[in-house]
Amino acid sequence: MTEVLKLTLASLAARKIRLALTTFAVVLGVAFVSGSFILADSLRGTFDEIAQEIAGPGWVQVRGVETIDGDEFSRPLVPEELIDELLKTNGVDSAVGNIQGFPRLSFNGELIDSGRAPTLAFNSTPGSELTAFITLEGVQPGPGEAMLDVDSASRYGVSVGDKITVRSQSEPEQFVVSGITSWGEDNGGGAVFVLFDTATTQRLFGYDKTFMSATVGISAGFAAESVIADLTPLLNELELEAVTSETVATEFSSEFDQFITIFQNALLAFAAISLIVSAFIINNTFSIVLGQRIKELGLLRSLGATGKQVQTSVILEGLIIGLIASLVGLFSGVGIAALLKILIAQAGDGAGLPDGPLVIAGRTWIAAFVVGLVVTLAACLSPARKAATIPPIAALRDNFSLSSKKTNRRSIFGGLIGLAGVLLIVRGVTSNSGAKGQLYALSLGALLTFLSIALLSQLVASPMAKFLGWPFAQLAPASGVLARENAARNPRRTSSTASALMIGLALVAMVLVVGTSFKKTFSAALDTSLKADYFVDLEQRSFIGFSPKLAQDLQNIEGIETAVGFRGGEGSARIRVNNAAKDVTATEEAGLGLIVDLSLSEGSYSGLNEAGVLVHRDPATDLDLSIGDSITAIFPVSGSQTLTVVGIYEDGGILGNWVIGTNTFESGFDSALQFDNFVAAKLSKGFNAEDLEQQIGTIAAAYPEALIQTKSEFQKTTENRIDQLLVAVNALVGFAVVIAMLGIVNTLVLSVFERTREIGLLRAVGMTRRQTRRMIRWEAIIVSVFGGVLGISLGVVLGFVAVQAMPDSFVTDFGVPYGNFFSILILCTLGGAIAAIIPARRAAKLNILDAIGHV
Amino acid sequence: METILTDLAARTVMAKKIYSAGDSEVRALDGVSLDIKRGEFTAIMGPSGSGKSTLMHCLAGLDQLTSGNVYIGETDISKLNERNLTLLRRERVGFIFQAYNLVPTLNAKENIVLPQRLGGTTTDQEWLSQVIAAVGLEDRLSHRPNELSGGQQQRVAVARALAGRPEIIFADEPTGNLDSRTGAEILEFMKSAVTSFGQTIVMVTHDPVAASYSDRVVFLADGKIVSELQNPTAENVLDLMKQLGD
Repeated sequence: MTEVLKLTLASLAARKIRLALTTFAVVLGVAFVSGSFILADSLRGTFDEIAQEIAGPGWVQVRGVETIDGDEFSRPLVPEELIDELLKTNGVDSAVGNIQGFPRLSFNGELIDSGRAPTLAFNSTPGSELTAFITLEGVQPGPGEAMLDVDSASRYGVSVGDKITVRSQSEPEQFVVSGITSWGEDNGGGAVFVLFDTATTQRLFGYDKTFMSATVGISAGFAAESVIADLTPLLNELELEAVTSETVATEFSSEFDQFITIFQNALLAFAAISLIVSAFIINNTFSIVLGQRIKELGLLRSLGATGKQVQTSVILEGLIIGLIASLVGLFSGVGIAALLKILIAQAGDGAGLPDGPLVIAGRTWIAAFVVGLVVTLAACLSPARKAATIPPIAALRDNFSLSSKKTNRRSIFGGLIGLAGVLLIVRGVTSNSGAKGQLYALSLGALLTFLSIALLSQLVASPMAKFLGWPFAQLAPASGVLARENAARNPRRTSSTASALMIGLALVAMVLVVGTSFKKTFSAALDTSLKADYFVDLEQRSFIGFSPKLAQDLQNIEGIETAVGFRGGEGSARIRVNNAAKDVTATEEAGLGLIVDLSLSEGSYSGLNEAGVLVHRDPATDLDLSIGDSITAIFPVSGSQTLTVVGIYEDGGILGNWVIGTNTFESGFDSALQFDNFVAAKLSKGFNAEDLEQQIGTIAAAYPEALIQTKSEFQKTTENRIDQLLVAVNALVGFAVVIAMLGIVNTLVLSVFERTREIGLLRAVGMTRRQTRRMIRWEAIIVSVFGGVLGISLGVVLGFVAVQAMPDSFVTDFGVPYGNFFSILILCTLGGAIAAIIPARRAAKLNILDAIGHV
Repeated sequence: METILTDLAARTVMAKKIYSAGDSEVRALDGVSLDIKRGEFTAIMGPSGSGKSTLMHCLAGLDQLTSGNVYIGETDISKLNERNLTLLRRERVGFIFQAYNLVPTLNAKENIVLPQRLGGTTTDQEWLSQVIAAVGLEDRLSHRPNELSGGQQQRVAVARALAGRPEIIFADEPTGNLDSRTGAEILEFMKSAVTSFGQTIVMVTHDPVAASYSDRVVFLADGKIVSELQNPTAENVLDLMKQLGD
């Protein structure tokens, strides 16, 4: 065993470049995995700290019981007079009501906005020991006054005595800044917020003698649990509940934890892609190296080493590479985490993540080592097994090669895997097992398809290499032909190397196809179903929509025929129908048919404002609804309400599956949701956009958070947003592509080594160094363009499948980004040329005499 | 003097090649001055370590002298840079190695015209057919090296060396890997290239029978020319080798 280890170490030491390149490929994959964990853990740590700050000393929160699960705004409100009742309870030391609102603040016409979180308003609770707000300067706000948070005050240059403009759903109002405040010692969280006195807060945000919740302080000597027990009978009647501050903090953490976990898993999915590519490269490297070491291993066998010992030495080599790569990868993960943070900040228009130290948790250590070792060992298993079969006679024969008769078996196996992959993909597209099940089926199907193509592509590698190398052969009859033949001579090697690149590029191509299809769907929708002349969208990621006044102001312009707002929508407002939560959108009857065409198949739009509901064909079929039917819907605020089905429509892409009237929405949902997320307006006949420029400009100035765009501007910004998303996704997939390029370097270095004598001969009969470099470079380009062609072809198929699998509300049309594909092939050419730099240089620098004598 | 020079395909003047390994130094070539006449088949012989291969490598521009000069025609190749040396090998020199003479991815025809292809020039088709016919490869042209026997591969190598009509061909133990009958065939081709086409050939060998095909044998020992034979036969080469060995 120790002898085997010594031999392994000697073999590794003798080929440092190979060791370095192979290790590096694994390092990148491991680094991505540990980077994902490090980033996620660090974010968790930061949010946990904020949660700890919230919990502070023990207190109790009184609040409504959620009417709709997971919907914070479906809690019944706390009546004002309850505060006195609370104070009378044994063990209660203090009780204050809380309101949180979403205002728009501006100072000297400039919007005060953090860009990373919604702007918040709270009622100040002077005298309460439980408040987390600290007065840094000035005094608590009275009527007509407000306190601004310290970071915003310094960023926008607001001081005590200045006037700021506050808008909610009502007319703008001026408030005098009475003081500067901070949330906790360091104003953590990074949101912009203001404090008003309680009456002002209630008035501004529509809380009529009510609060969202109440904070109850506990007298010394009392336990929170016993106070809660005492309060419960009183609260039950009002559909309220009391929870400890720890519960509130835990809820806060777990809410963020959910978000971070999704984020972490998405990153890990990209990391997995990189790892698969790494495994491909290691496997390829080990196979090539094995072929080159046949004589050496045969000699070992003839000197008495058992097949098992030879196998062990190959596995040990993998183990050592895996260990080194895991350790280096783990620490590189810190760099990756930092890099991802920057990338996210850039992709999010400056909406960064909270600052905090990078944490390497114990779990990250384990993950890095498990992943590094498992991937490396799995990749070297088949070469190791093959190594055991090398007979001693191999040491004596010049041209002994390991049986590669298995090509047929390989192809059959590849075909079977491919079939399984396709079946899984078909299942993923057609099944109704929910988005998660579909995603798993599709991912596994795609993985099997990758493997299958990697196995099968060797069948086309030679003809493809000859085809792709044709221009080079025309360009230079000697080095071009040689490059082409070199790429074609070992189909398995070429196809493995190209397949590693294929994986990353297939995903890039798929993402681009989906993105292009999105754009196409969107642009078709603008022509057919969303026939507005103006579109009002959020300027920044300010999270909360516009005041309904914006639509009214637009409507009041002469020359605007109709302007309508849209509230709620996917993920922001839900009602319960038949015990299931449904996303609902609200709009005005006036705009339907005129601006938004939902493709009604039954009924009409009229009656929407009289407790009507429009239902998409799918849920209507599922629930067996027809025109005139009544359904019982539970609303967060108004509770149970009967709605009449007035129309059934086909196009769920714009407003989702359930549409109600704005008036129903107003009574049914919390005032915190009474914002238009989107506004569309249509010009009257005889007017054009130039006529209204000035009036539109006035409105734009009054609502700096709103981006009022014409149709073409809207189309452009939406496409830009899609593009930005594509760039972000492709940057993450780019890792896998970089690793695959390293694979090309690796394969070529090994091939050059293998062909030392041949290159020596070529140099002897008159090949210049330049021609030698060119020969290697062109071979690299042929291989990488082959990978690109495979990747793009597969990506188009996967993209097509993905478009089919996605709900029609997202995407209906299918588009292929030919321009992007052309760029990818150009980049493959460049990438191949860069990958060839090291191997080409090594080939050109070979000493001719040594090379000719090389065995 | 001028006319004498142009009669020479190659020559060395006080060629020295010294390898230093730590304190000791090895004089692989220790002042060799040798003239190679045009149209002559010269064999270089000598025991292992005599410097015969080094001499050939330096003559062919594959290796550099420590001091002294090497001329191919009238070009002093010890003054050429790497690129010009490569071009010289491509255009003015032909090679036949002991083994591994051919590029495995190219077929016989492509291997034969490889140097001209590298130079971007075309091969004289008439001459090419003549050469291919001479080595009897007409029906093997589209075969790759692994589909050819050892003798056929060496014939391709000879054809490649002849195809560009180089000023001089260097052959390094060209029959070392072949059985004696196949080896004799190859030597016959080389000899006939000298007699019928006026080709200049320098061959390194340790085989007296191979040397007997040449016009002149130069004997090397310890980096120096120790003897020479004109129109050798296998017997007198062997005799001389015995004498020198004593």
